[in-house]
Amino acid sequence: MEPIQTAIRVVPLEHYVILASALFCIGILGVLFRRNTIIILMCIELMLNSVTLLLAAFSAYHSDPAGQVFVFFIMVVAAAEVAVGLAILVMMKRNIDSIDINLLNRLKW
Amino acid sequence: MASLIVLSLLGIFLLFLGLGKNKKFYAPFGIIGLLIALVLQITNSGQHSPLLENMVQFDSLASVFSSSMLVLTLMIFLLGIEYYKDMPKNVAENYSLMLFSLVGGLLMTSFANMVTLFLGIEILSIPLYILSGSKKKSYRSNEASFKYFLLGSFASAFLLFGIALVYGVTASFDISAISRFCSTHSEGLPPLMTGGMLMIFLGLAFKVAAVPFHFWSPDVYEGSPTLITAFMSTVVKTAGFAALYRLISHAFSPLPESMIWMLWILTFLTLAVGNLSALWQSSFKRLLAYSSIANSGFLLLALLSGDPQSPGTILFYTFTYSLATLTAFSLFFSVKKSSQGSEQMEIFTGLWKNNPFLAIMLTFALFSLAGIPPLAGFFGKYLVFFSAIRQDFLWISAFAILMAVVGIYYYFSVLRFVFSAKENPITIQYPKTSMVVIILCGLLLVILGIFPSLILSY
Repeated sequence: MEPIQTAIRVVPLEHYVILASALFCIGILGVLFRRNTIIILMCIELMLNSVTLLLAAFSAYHSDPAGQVFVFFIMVVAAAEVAVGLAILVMMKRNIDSIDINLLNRLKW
Repeated sequence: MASLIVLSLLGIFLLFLGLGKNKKFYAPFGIIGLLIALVLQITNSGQHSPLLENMVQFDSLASVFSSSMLVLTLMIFLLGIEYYKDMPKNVAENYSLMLFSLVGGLLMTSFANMVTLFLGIEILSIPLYILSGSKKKSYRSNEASFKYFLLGSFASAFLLFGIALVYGVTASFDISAISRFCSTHSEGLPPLMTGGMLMIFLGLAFKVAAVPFHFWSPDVYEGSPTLITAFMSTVVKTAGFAALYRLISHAFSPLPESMIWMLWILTFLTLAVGNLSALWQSSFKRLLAYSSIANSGFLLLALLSGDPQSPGTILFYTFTYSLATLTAFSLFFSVKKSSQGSEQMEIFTGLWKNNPFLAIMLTFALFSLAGIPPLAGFFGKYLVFFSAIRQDFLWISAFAILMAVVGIYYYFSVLRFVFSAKENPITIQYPKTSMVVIILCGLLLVILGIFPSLILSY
């Protein structure tokens, strides 16, 4: 634990926060502007991973293992979520033979 | 805690029962298990100490909200007997997914740590993504499911980022530690902390469908199978507001000024958009979706007024709203079945001449949603306005009362069809099990309207 902690602390904390925020924003932009649903799923995954990075950095700076344990929970939940999401995609692909997000417009407000 | 274990085991048990292909047993076993969980929940309410290394805490707040969710799920299971009668397969999975989702709901009401909040929300949501797509061949159901999945996971990413930022500042996930940090830094919180809080509220606002994060809700409500829509608009809403209340009162107290302003704007928008867009709906399911957004607005008002009685008000309001909504959905389902699956409000034409009893029950439900005395919905709205006015929030209360009047208009537009003189030659099959549910809901609505202290005394 100790050498890894010092290795993480070589980079200042602000840089981790900025990197994670940048990754998170890239994820948001991807979800909002890409049309392929697989890419959108990947962007959501990117958002979750930026959180993971942030938690690991904070955890090393606070010398508190709770943050790193939370990372495992996020991984498990992300895996479950992607499994369900891909299943829904397969179901859609069978019904309409496309995974383009623009076809999802039959329910209108 | 015991009820959590019972529900999880019951869900697994029902999954195995699904191998046996005997559909008659699923709902009765589910109902028995839910009753056991309810009894355990009520008898255990004296135990307030935090459990599992300070992860969950079943205090009195959590146990009353959990009991109300268990009662609502029980009623949904009773309705499910009829709803799933014609479904050829995978019925057991539907029931057990609802149970798993309920477990998430219970965790959301009783979290004492941000990790449990996140896990609760995910355990609640992931089964719902599947359930809303459970009509596999229906394109609308697919679309609802995918939209819900996409926006739901988008929202939980925001929630997570918020939790990470709050952790970065306070060095703890524990809500009492976070609350200690908030009270020692009450004069000015670091910007990372306010940003984190903002993102957490944003993630939860998605779950309770507060404007401007409500876009998913009408689409998802309309596309999902009706029983699942009923589950989403009752149990999930209760869980969402219980979690929001717990977060505001236990973790982020006192709230910084900027956050309070943000939440007031959210309340204002939710009240306005929810009520006004309901005026233009012609589909009954969409009407109820907008009504659920509008009711989120009233609940947010009760939440923000910061009155000492607001937990009782929120409980009373969510419970009575859920009872009325369940009645409306159950009747809607039966009438829809006998009118070739149409979901427009026109299907209720001439219901009074056709079947006076069902017409009266629908009237009860809609009167309660609109807030007409002596039904329980009136008292719920009265409590909300009373607590807001007592805390000197006059303008927003006046606006909310105006919006409640708008609400009366659109609920009555349904009743116009019910009591119209036109004949509508359909025969409505209304089974006994569902009859039990609506009679129970109707009775509770009247009784709670006259004796609201039955719930408020908790």
